[in-house]
Amino acid sequence: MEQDLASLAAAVAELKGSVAATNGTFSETFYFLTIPLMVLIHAGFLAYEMGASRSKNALASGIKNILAFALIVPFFYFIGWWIYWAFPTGLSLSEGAMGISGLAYANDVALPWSQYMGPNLDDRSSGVFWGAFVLFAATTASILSGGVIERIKLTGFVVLAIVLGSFVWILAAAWGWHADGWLVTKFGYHDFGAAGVVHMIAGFFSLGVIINLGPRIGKFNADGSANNIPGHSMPMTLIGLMLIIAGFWGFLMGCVIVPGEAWSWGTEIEATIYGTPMTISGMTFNTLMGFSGGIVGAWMITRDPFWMMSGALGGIISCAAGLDLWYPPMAFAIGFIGAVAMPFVASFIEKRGIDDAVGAFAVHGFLGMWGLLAVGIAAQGYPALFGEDVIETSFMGQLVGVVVMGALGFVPGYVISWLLKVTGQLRVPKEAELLGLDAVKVPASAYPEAIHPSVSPAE
Amino acid sequence: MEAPFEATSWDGITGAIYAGYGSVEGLWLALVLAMVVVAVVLGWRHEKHAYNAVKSKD
Repeated sequence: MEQDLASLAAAVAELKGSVAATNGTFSETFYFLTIPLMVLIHAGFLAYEMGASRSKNALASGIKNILAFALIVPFFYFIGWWIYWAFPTGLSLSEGAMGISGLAYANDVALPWSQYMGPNLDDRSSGVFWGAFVLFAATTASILSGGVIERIKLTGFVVLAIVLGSFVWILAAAWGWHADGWLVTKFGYHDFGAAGVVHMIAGFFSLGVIINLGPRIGKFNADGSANNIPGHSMPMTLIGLMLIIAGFWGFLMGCVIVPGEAWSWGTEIEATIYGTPMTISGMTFNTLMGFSGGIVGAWMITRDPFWMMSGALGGIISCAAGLDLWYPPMAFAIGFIGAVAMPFVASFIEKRGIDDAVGAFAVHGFLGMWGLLAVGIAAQGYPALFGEDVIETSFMGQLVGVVVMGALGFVPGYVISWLLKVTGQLRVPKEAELLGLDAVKVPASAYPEAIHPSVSPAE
Repeated sequence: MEAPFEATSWDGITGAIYAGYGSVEGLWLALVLAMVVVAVVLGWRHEKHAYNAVKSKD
């Protein structure tokens, strides 16, 4: 009998070890796969921006996008990951109630010489989580990259991209996308799919930069009226936008905390980054409904394929903050409303003399804001955190989040681009802009045997 | 710069296993930072020369 019990205990122990190994491999692979999926976002932004540029600037736009991605990686290793764990409770570096924040915790898990910041046989999560966050960071830089095409200096842009991707957005994430984040614990801020901490931050940062950068030559006439400056390949732009949307599925996977691991919120069901329960299945309903509503809304208003695909993106962004909570028809309506408003916001910006070449502010800044407010309007009263007697989601909490995200995005973008402007490091010279940036500084040709460079009316 | 443990087998090895763990991280971090700074400065100079060349043609 005793021998049977010992044998059974050994079998159970072996079985438990096997289950743990399988679950560990599953969770590690889950986040690992978010990374190639999110690389699709960057393949998409690359095609999108090159297509939206005139042929004389196509490769320069591509270089800018590739380099931003590459340079964010080391800076996010040096400092970005540490910021995320150090600052959730504000700027005090104190530890939050969940015990996963503050100076000591950040120093332990995220300093670049920490034992967890490289191959470690006891740690199967840090690298894949860090990698997913790097891709979020690179997404913010790509959002900025689109709005500033055809006239920004490469090195000036690189500085802005590093600041946005490795400092600004991750501070926003610490505050509003972390279970110890002060916006969450004090105001019940809810932003499941990063409508605020990624899209709104990047959109408002871009607006600050674009104001200082100024419009492309030929964009505005002497009377202030605007000219359309079409890119050289609308098909490339549209395919790029669809690739971004494909990559969004990886982005949203990265917003989910899987169950069953030591760092998970539970053993049975997926959770948001706040520890609140959700399902990938439920998120799927809402993502597709928001996507669809965005396309239909933009088509109804513009009939333009560029805005239709931007509407697809905008529909998902509009729903992103509450993708874990919406009733699917609600997601369609929120995406539809956002996409209907989006072209008017782009037009409003243009009428102020601001040349946002791809509508980055309208799609990401404005719709990120709409997404946050939509949760405050239609998804109030949910417990905002893991645990008992926690604060609930509310309109006021979302409104505070909107104000913080808007200011945290816009102010650094405006101030740093202004400093670059006054030191002559922001904008290319007029002669280079007119000739085209590819001919000036790129040792390759986008179309050596075809396509005549286009010019805008005022050129 | 070597393995952070002395062993002739992987049996019983746990924790951080990356080369140089606990000893030379600072050196490599400084090297990476220097490489990035040098690359960006050279990129800045390339841009400057390219723009100056266009201006001088006009």
